[in-house]
Amino acid sequence: MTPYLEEHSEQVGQAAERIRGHVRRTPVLNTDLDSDLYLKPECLQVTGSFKPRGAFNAVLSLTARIPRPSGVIAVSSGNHAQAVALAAATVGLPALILIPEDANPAKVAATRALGAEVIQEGITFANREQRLREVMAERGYTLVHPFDDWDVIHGQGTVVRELLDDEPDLQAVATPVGGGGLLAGSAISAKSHGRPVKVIGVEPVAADDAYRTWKTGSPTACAPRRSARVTSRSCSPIAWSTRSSP
Amino acid sequence: MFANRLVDEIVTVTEEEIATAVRVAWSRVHLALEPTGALPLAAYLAGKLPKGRTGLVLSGGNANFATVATLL
Repeated sequence: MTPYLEEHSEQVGQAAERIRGHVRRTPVLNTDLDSDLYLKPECLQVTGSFKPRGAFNAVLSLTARIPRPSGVIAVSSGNHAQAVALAAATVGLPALILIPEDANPAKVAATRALGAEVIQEGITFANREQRLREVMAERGYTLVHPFDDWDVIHGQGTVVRELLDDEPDLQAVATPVGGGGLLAGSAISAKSHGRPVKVIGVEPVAADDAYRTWKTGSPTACAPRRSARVTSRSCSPIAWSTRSSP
Repeated sequence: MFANRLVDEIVTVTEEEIATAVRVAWSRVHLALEPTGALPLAAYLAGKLPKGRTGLVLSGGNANFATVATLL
């Protein structure tokens, strides 16, 4: 294992300790579909997705670094919004979430129900990054990025770490790819497992920026794109960053 | 590249393959997955994953009811 991988693997281990008690250790299911298949159902995770793993790691790391942060902010129309809202509420920090106007109302309601302040007015897919900078400057809140943040990536790495703890003989793991945070964290955990484990990312063909980035070797065409049913925003510059010795 | 060295492969799945995976997840495995959460299952069902002992991370279940209704 390279020192680089070793360091990140250790940080995934620290994330696992940090978020324990705040997130569920989801089960690993073997079903009648195929006896070689092991499912890690993060739909059973708190808030209904794996996202609280990264959000709790980021928020708890922030409160360890800064004694009294003024609050956290996130831009999300989906699962990350609820995860950040829950993590912030748990530690008693205000959370402000910018959600595009055309987002699913159920997800907006769920985010508000977790105690976050939601701003939707005038927020679009195109202008949200700029609005984020403005609101951050006004409030002095700390950004919790959905994927381009090492604390978030280390938190997401706990999914595959648990999976391989429970099933150490797996030969491959496959994860969805959106921004790349889950895939990057999964890769850290799989490649530091001690036995060879293939890491496979799965992406909709209609939003295949990670596929093209992987194919060409450079993070190109990471503009917001949508498939009919899955929204894929952009690739994580951290996950795809150039490293001389990963 | 960090991800290029640590990630062995990226595979893509079609909208129809995603829809099939959501149906299989709901009906055979009784997991209420959102379409994104079903991506690895879609790749498996389409024969796009290598053979052998494989873990699938099914990432979430916050399905938009209207979308899922059209898939089921």
